[in-house]
Amino acid sequence: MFGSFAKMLSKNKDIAVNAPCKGKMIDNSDIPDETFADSILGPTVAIMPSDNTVCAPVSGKIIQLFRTKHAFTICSQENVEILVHIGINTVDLNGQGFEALVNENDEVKQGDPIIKFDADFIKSKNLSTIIPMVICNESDFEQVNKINADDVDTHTQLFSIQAKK
Amino acid sequence: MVEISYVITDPRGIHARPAGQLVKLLSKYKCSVQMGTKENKVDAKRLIAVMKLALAQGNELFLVFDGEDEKAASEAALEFLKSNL
Repeated sequence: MFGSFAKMLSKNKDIAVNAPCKGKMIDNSDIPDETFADSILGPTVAIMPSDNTVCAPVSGKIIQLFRTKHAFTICSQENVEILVHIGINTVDLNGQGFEALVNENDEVKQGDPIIKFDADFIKSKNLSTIIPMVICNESDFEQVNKINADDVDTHTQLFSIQAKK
Repeated sequence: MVEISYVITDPRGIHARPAGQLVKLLSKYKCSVQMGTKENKVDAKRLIAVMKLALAQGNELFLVFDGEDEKAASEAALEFLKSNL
């Protein structure tokens, strides 16, 4: 799907995955959902957001915007597959409080806005706005390292990923 | 080869959490697993592909298992589907 030039570049340096929004990184144990807290889906980080726009953590292609707009998946130019999930149990809001700013199959740049959400609305439904982000295909890579941080924005790197040799 | 089918009853369909749990379960088995609709199946051990199926309540889901532990995998999958979806 991507050119051999991109592949060649990715062999020589680690792949960076950045925070998908501004906020504070929290401990996974503070995510009120076992699946994310225990990293069942893959290496997981979580952000307590302080603004209402979720951005692309990498440059790549939008694979899926969930029907209910509470999550998206993106595949980076180096084929890292990432899930960004806005809030916990927000599938139950059925799309209310979320606005998609891109379409499936769009090519985006790291930091581009993807989904806007209404944090006050989500909170009014007694749901958490915590944003877990998951690397879905860890086994395709040599190593996936989580980088701890405190205050984050879309320039803060949260994963460093090594391609297989 | 073993094939099973299941009609999704959860009004939320296969969203991120159950998709991830199912992929995790199937990844424990050696056999290959294809999953999806009758016409469109994907590798059931790839989370991003399983989520992308975006299967909804009332959709019939098909899983095809092929390999030495296909029987055990299909039984585990069916049990998971019945209790979670």
